[in-house]
Parts: sequence; structure tokens; C-alpha cells
Amino acid sequence: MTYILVAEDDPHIQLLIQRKLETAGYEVRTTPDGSEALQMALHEPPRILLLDVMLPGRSGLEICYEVKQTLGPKAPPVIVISARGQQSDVDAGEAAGADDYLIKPFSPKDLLEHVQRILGR
Amino acid sequence: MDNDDHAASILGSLIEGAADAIITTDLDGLINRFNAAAEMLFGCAAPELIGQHISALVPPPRRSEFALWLRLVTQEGRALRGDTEVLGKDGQIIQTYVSMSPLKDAQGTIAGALLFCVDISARLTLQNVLQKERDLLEAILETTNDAIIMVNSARWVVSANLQFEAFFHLARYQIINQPVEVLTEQIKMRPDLPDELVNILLTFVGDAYQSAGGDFEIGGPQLRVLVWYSSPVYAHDGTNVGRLFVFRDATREREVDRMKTEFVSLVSHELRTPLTSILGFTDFILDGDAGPVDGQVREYLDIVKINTGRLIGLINDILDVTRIEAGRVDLKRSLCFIDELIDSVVQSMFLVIDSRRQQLTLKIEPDLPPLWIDRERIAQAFTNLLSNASKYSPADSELIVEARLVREPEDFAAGAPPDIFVPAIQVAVHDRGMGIAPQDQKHLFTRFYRAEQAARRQIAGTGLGLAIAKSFIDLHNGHIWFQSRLDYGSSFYFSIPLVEAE
Repeated sequence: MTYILVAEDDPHIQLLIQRKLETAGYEVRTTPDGSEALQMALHEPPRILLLDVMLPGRSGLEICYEVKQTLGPKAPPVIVISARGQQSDVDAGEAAGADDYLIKPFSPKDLLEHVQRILGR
Repeated sequence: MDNDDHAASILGSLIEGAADAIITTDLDGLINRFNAAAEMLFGCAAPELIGQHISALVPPPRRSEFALWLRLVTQEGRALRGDTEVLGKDGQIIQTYVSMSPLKDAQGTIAGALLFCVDISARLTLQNVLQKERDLLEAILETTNDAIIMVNSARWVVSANLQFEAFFHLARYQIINQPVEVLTEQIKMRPDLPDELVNILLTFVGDAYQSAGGDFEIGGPQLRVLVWYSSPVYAHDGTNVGRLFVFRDATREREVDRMKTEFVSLVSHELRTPLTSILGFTDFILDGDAGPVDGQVREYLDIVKINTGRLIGLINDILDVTRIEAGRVDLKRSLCFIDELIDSVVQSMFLVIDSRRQQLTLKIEPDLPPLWIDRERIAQAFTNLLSNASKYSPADSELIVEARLVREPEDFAAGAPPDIFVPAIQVAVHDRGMGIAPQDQKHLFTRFYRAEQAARRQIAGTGLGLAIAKSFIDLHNGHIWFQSRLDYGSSFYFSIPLVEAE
């Protein structure tokens, strides 16, 4: 449990998240694919899981739900990142078991704060 | 003998003075009396016709009919009446109502025929006009795309148009001139028709005052949305004659509405992905994560950041308006302190206000009670007011934000709507900006409306901010208003009612 897993299919946003977290000293692994993200998360659970909602393969919410169901209390904290900011979307994230919800566009500083807050507790 | 003479004289006067045309004949149908009204009607003097056969009074096609009448009257003693045509002056045909009855002598023997003729052409013309109007109304009723039924004040269905049959697949002949319950019983037996239709009919049928409307869905091969409207109908003298129920198929327009909302939503979300990279990397550089940033580069990147922020704001506004239009704003209420809300909005706007070198003064009353609000929406409304205040004010000017408790009507700022009486928190944003011209003031909360001054000075804006602010404040049962003077500045106020302590 040493790395942060980022599932995001937009290469630039992926790069942004990766660079910001690396600058803060975290080890980051990335994937643009939902199914692969689920595999990685279950095979070697990360310290924290950052999931875009609309991913090819599996949606971020599905991955979140699967990981939380399969790993139970050992599941990593999940931050869902979505372009959908309606309350109903946030509620859907909560229902899938997400610990936090970040709406695009976000400032990388905010993202880092969210990650640090979750890892700090 | 004197008596007989006297009676004959009275009779003669009666006949001559009568308003109706009166003609008498002998048994053979030869005219022996023709009064003044008859002279008027037929357009010729009595002496010309006395001794003539009465069939001379009607046009040739009517003559055999008239001869038959005469025979029935004089030979069988029957009395006949009906509409017919007679010949007027110069052969003109006049529509008349004629009654023909036996004329008896002193011994009671039939001595001839007595005819009364009334000119009914005026009445027929009126009837024709009415009939034409009725035909026209019926044609309109039958060709309209709306289903319409009329129920009279005795709760009977008096009219249902073709579309009504088509919408609900109910046969008109089974429901017209029947109590409304006959219709509602038929609806109840039909699984594809919703109970709501029965409720609408029975709820409003006896109501002589209220207008009402709404919508419901009906089944069948394809789900349809019907919008309905019902209102009482009054005759020209003001008496209630029943109620009209109108149903319109809104399936298509709802579909278009939904598609529009989805399209806007999709486009807005697609715009967020590239904006995330633009804003994200700008911040990344500004945060110093890509190495030191010198003054000039920082200045330029701040400009990129501010404009990206504007673009995001615009997208959010359009999304908000779309949701407000579609009635899809659900409030997520929680207990919030207005001072914290104001602080966080001011923080997020600081860069913009500072770039204009404007001074922001906060006058927040201490210990304000919390509000039961959707924090995001109220923050959005306040952001829009503060952003306008800054945008429409010159550099180096002062902006003032006030928040205070208002308990009595007189505590509210001037210009508040007169019906405010619940205790509330009132937030004010004052500026020393360009002000709003009187002709713009009444349109200020209209979507996409931009004040002429603002447009002329080319200040960027979409005319959405105040419309959105008003919608969100309204959703909280709050009020929004303003006072403004051209070239002196504006004050915008909103008030949110306090929650009652349990």
C-alpha cells in the first residue's frame, strides 16, 4: 500500500494529477482503462484510489463499488472525480461508497488537499 | 241587427288595424278581404287582389300545395300553419309564416278561409347568421389539435370535440348529453386512462370560480404527456354556464425540452474536460510546481486563470439556467452561517476584485443565527451579486457587503417588496458603479437581458447572473431587490427567512 492509483482516460488530466501528486512526494500509477483499474486495485490495493466516472471498460462508480465490496474494511479510500457536479451525481458517488467527490474543473492544489486530508486521518 | 252591424264594424277595425297580414277568401279561394298589413306585405292595393284566387299570392311551385291547404281548410275544416313563400311586390319572394283556418258564417258553416301571414325573412336571416356562426365554431372546435369538452353547470357533458374522441378513444355519442359521471365511469373502466383524469373532472366540474391546470401521462401504444387546463365559462350576463376542460398533447414538446436539456448538459460536460487541463496546469505553474515563476509570467498566467474562471462560470450559468427552466433544481439544505458563506465567496472572488484595485468592506452583524439553505445555491446567488458589483464599478472604488438580522418590516432596506414580514437575514451588496437606468430596472431579472449602459461599455456578461440569483433566492422563499441611481451606484439586497426554532 505505497502508491496512489489514478484512473483517468484524458491523458492531460491524468498527467496533471500525476505530476501534482509526484511533486508532493507520492508514488503514482495511472491507467486510462476502467477494467484495468479494477484489476490493479484488487491485485495490489493502493493507498488511495482516484477514479474518473466516465471511463472505458468500467465506470468509476462501478470500480468504487466493486473494490469496496470485495476488499471490505481493507478497501482503500476512493476519491471520485467527475465533470458532473449535480447533487444527484454526488449522491450516486456516495452510494457507490466513495469517500470524497471532486468536480471538474478542479485546481490541483485542491486535489492535493483532498488526498492529504484523507491520508492524514 | 244593430248589434250585428256593431260587431262587424269592430271586426273590420280589428282586421284593418292588425299588424299581421290578414286575408279572407270564399269557398273557392277567391279573395274577398285584404287588410292594410297584407297590402304592405304583398306590395299591392286591396282592390287589385279582391276577387283573385289566393294561389296568385304564392309563386308557381307553391301553388298546388296552397290549393291543397285551401281544400283541407274549406272542405275538411282543418286549420293549417307553416312556413312558406309568397310573392311580394314585383314578384319578389318573401319568406312567411302562414296560418290558414276555416272561416265560418253565423250558422257555423264554413264559408271560406282565413289567412294570417307573417314576414319571417328577418328571423330567417338571423337564424342563418347564427347557424353560420355555430358551424364556424363547430369547425374550429373540430379542427383544433386540443381535446375539448364542455360540462354545463348541471354537471352534464354538453360538448366534446373530435380530438377528445381521438385522445381518449371515447365515443362522443355515449357521453354527450349525459351526466359527467357517465364519462368518468367509462374512464374508470379503461386501464390505459389514468385515475387522474377522473380526479380532474370530478374535482373541478362544479367549480364556478377557479381556473386550474397541470399535466399527466396516459398509456396506450405509446406513453403520452397531456397538459390540461380547465376554467369556468360565463355567459355574457355573467352567469356561470359550466366548465371547459382542454387537453393538449405535449409529448413532442416535452421530448424536445428533454433533448435540449440533455444536449446542453452534454456540451457543458464535454467543455469541462479541456478546461480542467487548462485551469489545472495554469494553477500547477502558478503554485510553483514547475519551477519559479517570475513576475511578468505570473501576471499573464493570472489573466489566463481569471478568463478560464469566467468561462467556467459561464458554463455553470448555462447549466443552471437549463436546470431552472426544466424545474430540476433540488435544494440540498443544511444549517449554514451566512458570515462563513460570505467569507468563502469573498475569498474565491478576491483575485478578481484585487485585480481591479477595489476595496471590499464587510459589515457583518455578529452572532447571526444560522440559515436552513442550500449553501451552494445561495453562495452562487451572492457570488453573482458581488461579481456584478465589482464588474460594473470603476477601479479603486469601494464595495460594501452587509449582513444583518431583520425582524420587523421596517428593518428591511428601502425598496423591499411590501409583503415581507417574516424575520430574515438580509444581505446587501453596495457599489459606487455606473448604476442602472430606470428603463432597464424592470427587466433586470429577466434572462439574457443586459442593461444598455453595460452593453455599450462592452462589459462582458450574458445577462444570466441576476436571473439565476433570483431563481435560487426564490426557491428559498427569499426576496431579492435593488435600489440604483445612474452614475451613483447600486445596492442589491436579498433576504432569506429564518427557520423557526423548534
